[in-house]
Amino acid sequence: MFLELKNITKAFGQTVANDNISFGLNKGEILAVIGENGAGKTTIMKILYGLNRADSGEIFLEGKKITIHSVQDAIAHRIGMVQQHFMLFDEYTVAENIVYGKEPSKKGFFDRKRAMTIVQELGVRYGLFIDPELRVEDCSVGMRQRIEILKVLYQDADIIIFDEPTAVLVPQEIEGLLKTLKHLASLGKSIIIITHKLQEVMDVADRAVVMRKGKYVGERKISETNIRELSYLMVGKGIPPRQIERKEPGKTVLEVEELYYESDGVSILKGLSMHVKEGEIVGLAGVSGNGQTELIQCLTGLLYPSKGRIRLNGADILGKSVREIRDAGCSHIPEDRYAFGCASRADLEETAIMGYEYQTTFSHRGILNQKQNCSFSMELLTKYNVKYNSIRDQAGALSGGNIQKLIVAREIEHQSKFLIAAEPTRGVDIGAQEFIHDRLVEKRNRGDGIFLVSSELSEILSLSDRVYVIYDGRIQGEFRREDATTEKVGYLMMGGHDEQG
Amino acid sequence: MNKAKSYGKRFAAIMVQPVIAALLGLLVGAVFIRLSHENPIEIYRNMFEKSFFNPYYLTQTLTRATPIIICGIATAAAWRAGYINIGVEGQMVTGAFTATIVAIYAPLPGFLRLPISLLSGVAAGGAYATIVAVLNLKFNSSIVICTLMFNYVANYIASYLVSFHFKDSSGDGLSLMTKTIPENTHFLQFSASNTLNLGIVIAVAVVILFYFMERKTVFGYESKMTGLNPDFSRYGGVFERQVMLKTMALSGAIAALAGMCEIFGYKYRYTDNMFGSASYAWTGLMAALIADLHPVGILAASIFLAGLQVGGQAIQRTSSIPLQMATVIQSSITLFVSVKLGIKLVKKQRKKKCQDNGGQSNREGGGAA
Amino acid sequence: MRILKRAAAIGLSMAMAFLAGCGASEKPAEPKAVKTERKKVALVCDVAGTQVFVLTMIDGLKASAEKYGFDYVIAECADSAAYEDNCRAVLEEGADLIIGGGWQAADSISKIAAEYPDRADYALIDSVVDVDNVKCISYREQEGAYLIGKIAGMVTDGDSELFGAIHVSQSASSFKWRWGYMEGVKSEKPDAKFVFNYVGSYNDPAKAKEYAIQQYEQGCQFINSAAAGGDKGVFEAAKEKGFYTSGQDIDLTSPDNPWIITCQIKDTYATVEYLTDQYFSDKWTTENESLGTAEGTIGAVFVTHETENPRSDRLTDEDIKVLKETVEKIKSKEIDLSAVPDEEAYVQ
Repeated sequence: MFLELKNITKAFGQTVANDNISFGLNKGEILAVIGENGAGKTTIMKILYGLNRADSGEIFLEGKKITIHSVQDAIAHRIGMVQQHFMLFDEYTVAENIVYGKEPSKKGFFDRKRAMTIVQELGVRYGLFIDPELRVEDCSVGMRQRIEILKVLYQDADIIIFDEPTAVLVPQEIEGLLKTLKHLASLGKSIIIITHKLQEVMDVADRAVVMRKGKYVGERKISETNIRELSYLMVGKGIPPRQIERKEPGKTVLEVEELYYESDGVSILKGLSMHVKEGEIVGLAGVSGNGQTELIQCLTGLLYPSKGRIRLNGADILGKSVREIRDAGCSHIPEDRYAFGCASRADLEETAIMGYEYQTTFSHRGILNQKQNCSFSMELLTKYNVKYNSIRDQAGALSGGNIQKLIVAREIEHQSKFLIAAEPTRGVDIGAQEFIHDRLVEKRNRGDGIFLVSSELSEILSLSDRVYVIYDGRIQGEFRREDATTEKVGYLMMGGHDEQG
Repeated sequence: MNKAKSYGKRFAAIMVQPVIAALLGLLVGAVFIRLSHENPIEIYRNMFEKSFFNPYYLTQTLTRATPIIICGIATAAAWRAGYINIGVEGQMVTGAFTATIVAIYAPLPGFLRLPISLLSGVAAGGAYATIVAVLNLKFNSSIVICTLMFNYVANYIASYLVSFHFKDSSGDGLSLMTKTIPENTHFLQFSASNTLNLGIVIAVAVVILFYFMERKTVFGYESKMTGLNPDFSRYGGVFERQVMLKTMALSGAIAALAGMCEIFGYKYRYTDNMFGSASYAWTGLMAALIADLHPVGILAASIFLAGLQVGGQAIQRTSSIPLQMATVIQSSITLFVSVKLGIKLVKKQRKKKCQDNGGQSNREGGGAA
Repeated sequence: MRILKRAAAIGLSMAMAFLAGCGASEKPAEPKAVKTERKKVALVCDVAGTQVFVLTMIDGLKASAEKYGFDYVIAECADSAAYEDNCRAVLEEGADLIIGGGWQAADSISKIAAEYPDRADYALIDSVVDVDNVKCISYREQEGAYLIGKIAGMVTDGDSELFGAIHVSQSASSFKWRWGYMEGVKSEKPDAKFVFNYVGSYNDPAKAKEYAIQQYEQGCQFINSAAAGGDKGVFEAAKEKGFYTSGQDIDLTSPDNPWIITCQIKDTYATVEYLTDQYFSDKWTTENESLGTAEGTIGAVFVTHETENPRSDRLTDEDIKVLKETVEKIKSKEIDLSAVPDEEAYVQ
């Protein structure tokens, strides 16, 4: 074994992200670390790359024990990582970005010419061609990824970790990337790729290590396994599938017709149509970046669509303000709880009354009804089992799961006819996930419409009465609960077409 | 509930650091005093007696603190909503100058003269600040830069007007100033032997009202949330533009009040560059930062800073310490008090970093859906 | 919090130790002997810094205090609000005579004087206010300026007819300087023409120098500097370019810079002396006074005021004789400079 991880354990608070994980990596091998979101894949790779420190466990490189406490340590041991979110300086050129941190110099000054030739040489050697004089802000996502890879290669990495490298790419780019990976392996680089896309694993990897809920589940040689086995290992028997009573949906709550949205001349939503009825949960499946965020923001009034029609409870809400849309009966669990769902320095009461503050029970003639607001907030906190010390705690002091529960509580307790739940359980522990799912189903059973947007296909499939698949700003297909399977939905998510599915 | 208690605790927590800082500042100041061959104990005794502990000088400190307190509140009103208004001085000049001119020249019956002057001043200050908000909404111009530049605009326009159109030509006319405002518009003075006047009551009232506004009103809530996280308040349906316009108008109106208290309560006329020279707005800004925008803290910090200025004058007058050294002592105390800002900022960033890491890892560690 | 508390403890104990150390090393301050009959005179003025106008006032006050045995307080004012604060404070501290040193103190002095007419006596230097119990001292600077103008006319070549001057601002009150200067020059060269420039602030040598060089390039052989702190810049330019110049307030002539022909004297030292002489010899009236050559407070170096610095060859003994006669004529009002005309009217 070239690299070996032994008994790595890492906990964040009470959550154990990595529980006694051990596995190894051979030279020139492509190893896939697979598992669902939250399985602990990224954590262990961050430990290897020095971004996190393990609570216990050891790392061996070529049989020698090494310690990695920082990214510098990792680079010194020739370990590199291409992160999911690129760390590039937009205003600088490709070459400047690649040599950053280890710049060639001449008489103490930055040697621009040399930097250019270095990048060109690297490109030739690894088959990753890019114009070194381009400015990063003019590069596409795929090119940026190439820059990141070149950066890692420039740092002489022998072991390269890729964190969900295909999540941000379009299909053609994915194909190119997979080729690059194989090429790098053939040149003797050892590659770890973190992913939960099994088809890619089958295409490119030599071996797969499977993780589930922070534990090592097993590993398989790709030549000796198949997607079915890997996905079984990944999901495990898991939680028994949720039983949701069948219910005949009522009248239409939300109706979207031919919705277009454009940003800086790039069209993002391209004539999207959909609807949600009373008493149903409608899921929206799709690879992130296909217009989900914009769709949600158009529906809630945070963005103004360029064209189309949105009707909520029969009223036209296109281009209306957030407050008007909320008043028309739409509540909204935002996909990023820290960006939109709360303010980390606001206290719990302030967090809980957002969106209610102007309503008559919460204020009168502009004066807040504080007694009522306090008891209302307490009620939410108790009802949704939020762990907190005092109502004056800052929202930022709560754990992610707890603050999410408070946000969910706030939005569900609006008792609106329609709820947009975007990534309602992202990053929360299983207990909280189950709890939140129960509340969503309860709301649906009360006869309200719920539009569930999630990057977790399993979440969508287990909750939704109906599933839309979004691809490139359009609805690519629609399934009823009984027809929706991972394969069929997944195929459309990748841009496939209904008839062939 | 023990809300009051926990509130008191929070206030104490906010004030602990400035108090320690002030002590350290005094220590450094003592070094400078020693360098001037004076006895620090004697000097400090003198300085604090002639700013806080002797009743007459306390009234002088409070008179000087009046505009500083109100400027501090004006600053806090905008900053808490995330709008970095550093144009309090300009708004103060605009409001106070307008009010002064109205008080002197407007053909008004006696009993209406004061209220109408004050109202027009408040309106002018509020409007002046609102211009910046409008510019930001229409052209996305920076509030920081605009408010800063508007200080100069206001100061120089007032300077022009007081040099030519509204100049007091009595005496030899060397000073650029307006006539004095009519006696029936002077603020009530509590005693003939000192300068303390209705202004300090207004300042305290502004503190209390601001405290109330901040905590108990929908506007206070919405503007605070906008300051803490504008996306959050937008998401919740707060009308950001309205909040911005209202906040800037409020801030400017309060700033105008600061200038008017100085003129109607103490100086009775506008003198060219009177607010710029005394830098009330900047001292108020400092007080607001020291107190972390907490209104009661602003009150305390403003009185403290005003006391330092009055005490600084006293040690210059009564000892061999030159004015420059007295200023150094004042500044070192102020510096130490404001150092906590730096520390706090660093802490906050560290905390944020931890949170980011923790947040991400949590996401990863949380388990599958 | 724990760290904070510890820091507080350390800080406090350090402060105590330090202060205690100081206290121990020094004898306890003796209580100042309070003599009720000792009078107290306060001077409220601008921050002295390098302003000779203020510095000489302070020196004058200190010298008088020695002479008459009174206590003095000097309150320098760092900002415009401080004038009134300090005026009130010195009154509170028992000042018997409060002198406002400069026009900046005018408003505060007149306000306090009107408010507390019985608690002290009031005087104001270099400005006039309409309050009865404030003794205002103003200067007839035009008389000094006249002498400077005359000297300018004498030292320049016969065919040189363009004369320059650098001022702080074009305020009406400073016209008497320009008027005196112009009249003086014209007494020598009736066809003289003038250029004036205004620096805009009391302390801007760089700008003053720029203006001086410009005026020199236009053909001025003599440039009168009345730019307060800006004078230094004009002197520098004079030395570099080679034109004659003059300063103001005190004797600024120097063996290092022969181009400074003379200086217009405005003796604030003597003014403070004059005020205290009056005050302590029971001749005090609140009558406003204007001081000029007759009282010895206004004049010109080499003419009314002697100096140890060398005199330029350009200024002959004959010239000095004429100038001294001129001074007598000014004193006797044979040359009447008491009424300064309005600037606009004069220019036309």
